Amino acid sequence: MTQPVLSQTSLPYCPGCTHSHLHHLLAQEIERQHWQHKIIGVCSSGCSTDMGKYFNLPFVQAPPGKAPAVATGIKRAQPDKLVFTYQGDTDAVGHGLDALMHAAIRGESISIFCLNNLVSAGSGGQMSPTSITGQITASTLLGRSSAKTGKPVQITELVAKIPNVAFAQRIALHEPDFVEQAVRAIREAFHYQENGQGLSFIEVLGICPPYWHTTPLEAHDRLSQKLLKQYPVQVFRRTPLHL
Amino acid sequence: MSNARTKVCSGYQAVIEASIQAGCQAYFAAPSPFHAFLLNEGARRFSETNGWFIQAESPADAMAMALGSAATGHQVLVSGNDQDFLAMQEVLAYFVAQKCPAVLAILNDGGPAMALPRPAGHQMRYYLEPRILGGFALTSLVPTTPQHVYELTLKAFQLSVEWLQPVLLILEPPVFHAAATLHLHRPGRRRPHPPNWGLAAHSRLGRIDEPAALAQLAETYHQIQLTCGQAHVISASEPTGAIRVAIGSLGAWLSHQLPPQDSLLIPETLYPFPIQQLEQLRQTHPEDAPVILWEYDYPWMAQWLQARYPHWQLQSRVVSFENLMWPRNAS
Repeated sequence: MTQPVLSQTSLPYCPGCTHSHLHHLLAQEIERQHWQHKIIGVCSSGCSTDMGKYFNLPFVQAPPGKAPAVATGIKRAQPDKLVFTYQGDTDAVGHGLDALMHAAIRGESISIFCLNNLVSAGSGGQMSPTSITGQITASTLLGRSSAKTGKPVQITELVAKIPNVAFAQRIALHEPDFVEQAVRAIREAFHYQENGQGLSFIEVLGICPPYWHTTPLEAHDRLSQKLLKQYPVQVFRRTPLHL
Repeated sequence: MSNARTKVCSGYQAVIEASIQAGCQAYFAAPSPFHAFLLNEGARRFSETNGWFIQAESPADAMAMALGSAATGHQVLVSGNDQDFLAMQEVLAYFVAQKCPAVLAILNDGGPAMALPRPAGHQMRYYLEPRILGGFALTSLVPTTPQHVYELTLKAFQLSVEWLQPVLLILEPPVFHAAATLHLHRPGRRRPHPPNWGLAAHSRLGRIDEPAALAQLAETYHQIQLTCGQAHVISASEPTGAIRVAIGSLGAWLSHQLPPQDSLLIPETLYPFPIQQLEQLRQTHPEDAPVILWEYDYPWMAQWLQARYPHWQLQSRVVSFENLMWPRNAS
């Protein structure tokens, strides 16, 4: 009997954190599609750095920001495997924008999941490149100033402009309709990879109640009322899928 | 029947040929000054042999890609110049932490890395005895001829797989570029199959090392260090008051060994020979002060100089050593 994809270790995430939700969705989809024996994950720095402990899957630990490069090496060595990276917004957009963009430029057939909770939560709630203007973080106590620190990066829109990207979508998990959409996106991302059509990029808009200084419910409301205007949930690139 | 063949190769070509012979399938590098000869050769040869080469966006990303391939049980080659090597440190530590083998071919061309005209002592010490993760020293091999490059590249792959750690292959510019007819034999020992590292060995994060294995590794490594450290101290019979000429790592190493009354010239290159610099230095010494050329295995250089400058008291020291480690008594 195949063991469950998610191990028995309890997840360490804070109440309301989107990581727990996304871990369960990923595990569920991997089990549903029977991908357990052909999938390799790459985890990097941030809250999800110990992700390898929570999954009964082979995982490789990448240096901060370098997960797409490590995944590239794995994919070239094991082209028949499904390789995915699981990164936070600080890791993917802050530490490793170069690795991400070059993996996209090369059109590597890997799937990149970037959980964007708008803050560097793993290090204690500092500003990340995706923090919105005015957002109070540990390093911007008066709110993020666009004059001093620039404007938030819309990473999916950026990645979607690169020619060899097969699929780029932003998803959210705060309501059932969005979750259903997210499950389809996860499945689709791996299907693009199975077909060798190029890089698939999924940005998951998440919440981080402790470092947004809110309760989980307030964070949920902020996401649905305010953040979805800044970060619209939609498909930014979808090449025809070879069935 | 012999399983060897001969081929005219430069030092950098010898690295690639030996890597392929050692069973390496994956090569990663980012273009950088002068080391790119190696990159170009690797890009061509690895595609011919069904391996894979990826031109990375940066040296650290080249290392990260290599980490991915090494984690799936493949032998990997990464190359760069000394500047690149500094940028690779972060990922190098991940190799050690995850016990993945790799061979790093580093062109030690000095200048571009540290804005210095030649390698400085501390810089060389850093290359030859890098310590990461709490003092774990990496093995550094320094070949001295193109044939030696071939031999030590094979050895580097063997050691990296045996000890499950990255091994540095430090290439001096003259050795890197020099061409010679090489004897390309196949390695005696092939890598274990299936590989005993990375995902293939079910290595997971947080694996606890066997203390006994670590102790054995430390003992073996210590023995090698001691052997090399003792073998290359300048002997008491060396003349004093001499002018010594040596390039690259050799010069940097020698600078820590010399008696104070000696002079040392570390030129950027021996081709062309730095006659003007040497003549200036000779003016500060007595007429009969010996000139001692320290070099790798190129005896023709001393012969050529003696023929051209017969009035010099020219001597030559040919150095050929493996596993160059920084001597224990160096300050």
